[in-house]
Amino acid sequence: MDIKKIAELARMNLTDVETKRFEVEISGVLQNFKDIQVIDTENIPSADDVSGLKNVMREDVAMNNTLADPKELLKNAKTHNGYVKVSAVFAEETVS
Amino acid sequence: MTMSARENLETSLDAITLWEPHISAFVELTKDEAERQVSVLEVDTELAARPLAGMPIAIKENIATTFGHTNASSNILKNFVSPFNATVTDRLLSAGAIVVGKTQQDEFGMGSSTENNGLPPQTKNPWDVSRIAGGSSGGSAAAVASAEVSAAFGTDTGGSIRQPASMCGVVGVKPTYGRVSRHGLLAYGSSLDTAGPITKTVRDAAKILEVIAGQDPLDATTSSLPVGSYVNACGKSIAGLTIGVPKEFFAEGIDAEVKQIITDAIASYKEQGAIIKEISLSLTPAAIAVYYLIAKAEASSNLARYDGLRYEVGEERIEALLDHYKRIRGEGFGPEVKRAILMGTYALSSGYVEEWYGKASKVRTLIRREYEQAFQEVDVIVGPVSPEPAFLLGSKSSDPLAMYLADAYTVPVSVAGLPAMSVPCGMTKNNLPVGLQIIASHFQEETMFQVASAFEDAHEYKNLSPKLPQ
Repeated sequence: MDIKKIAELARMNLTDVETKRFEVEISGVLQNFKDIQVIDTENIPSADDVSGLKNVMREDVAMNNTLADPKELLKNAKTHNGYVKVSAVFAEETVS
Repeated sequence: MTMSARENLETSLDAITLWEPHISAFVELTKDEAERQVSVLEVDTELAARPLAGMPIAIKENIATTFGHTNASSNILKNFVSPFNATVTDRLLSAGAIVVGKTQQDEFGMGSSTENNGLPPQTKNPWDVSRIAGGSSGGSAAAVASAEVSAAFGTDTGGSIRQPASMCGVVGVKPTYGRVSRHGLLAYGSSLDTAGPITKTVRDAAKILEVIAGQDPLDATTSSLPVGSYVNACGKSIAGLTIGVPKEFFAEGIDAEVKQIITDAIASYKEQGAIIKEISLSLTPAAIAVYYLIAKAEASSNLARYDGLRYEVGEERIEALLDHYKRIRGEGFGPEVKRAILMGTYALSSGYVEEWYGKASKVRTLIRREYEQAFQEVDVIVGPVSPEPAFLLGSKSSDPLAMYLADAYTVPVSVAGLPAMSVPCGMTKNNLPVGLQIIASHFQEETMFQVASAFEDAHEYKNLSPKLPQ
């Protein structure tokens, strides 16, 4: 298992110590989970719903006053003129 | 004479002063909010007449409250204050409950011992402070066991309400998936997450579930089925009911003393006229793998939102956006959460998704069918919650697989989306509580409460309390 590649996909830095540790631990856990591979699931559908509900619809009308106003929602973020402030997307731009 | 809301709050705060130095159930107290609610209760006669009026309660850190923090015990959300309340929070407040604080947990609910807390302190078991309180809702269970509060709220993805309730000798209810709104719960595994009460008695849990259950426009997976009369179900005779006992719940790995206590509890149901029937749930061992693959896959997707931009303010550096994400996530998540994200990302990654996540989802269907079939023959299923009583702090934290295997009896129920609860049913020689798990069919919480109260009423366990350590 290539933990470094998976960490890239998960957008998460790992230290070398963590990389080694997780490689051993996760491989061990998956080795133990291998038994489910032999269970016959021919023609068995995936459990994609849990409560048996299907296509929950509502009127196409904007819901007002249900959560919080944008100001409240932005309180936890770094903002600029009422928008979430984000680092430069391209590395080149910060270098030049 | 009934106590006033203010007297209840004072009693709760006094107990907190006595117990917190020993058990650290709380991450923070929300005295201002508690005071606000008491003041309202003193003048608002309508609120004062509602079902939970004046009841001091605690709420787990991963349930959104506009007061205090909502950080799921994670460094990545250390300073997060929710702009809105979870639906359960709103419903508790409208029913007159007084929220005295937020309780400790494993980070994002990932763990069975509350030792994976990303933020301090370390919660301990009130019955023996050298032991874990269980998890992930360990703080909530410990707070109720020590009578710091009358009730506490937890979340249960794979056993996080039932297992700490069992280990702390209190009642813990995991409702049917879709019975209680998930709006405002910090998501772990969205197809598994539920919220429910932890209380001293079965009837208190029934009363609270009646308040919080029901459809919510903010959670499309909530059911429109009417909420049952859970309190009225308590005390009804269980004579003639069929109770299923799955032999797989007593297989190798179960502690001998726990096995005996559960066997005795089942015998007491027989004395009350229930029909005891041995059943087989052959997929029980496979459920651990199915549960962890699905839960971790969903977690890896749910936790992608913690990008260091919207919910948290990290140190500002000049760096590219991708490097920012990776740094904040690498620094912010604790080891168990990182393990979960990595395992989940792997189980969903191109080339492996069919083998792991896909397979697990199909076996999940089989597990659900196996339970549906069992409920053709029995009214409820009973067994242990956990294969062992509360273990010593630090004794398993280095071995993730050992920790996962300890969830063998709670995760199958979560995978099937069924309601289940833990009821105190005995004490070990070391004076540690053991919980009986009662599992019902989808949305059959009334039967579950009926069977739970029948045990509670016939025994004295609800009157046992831990002694304050010296």
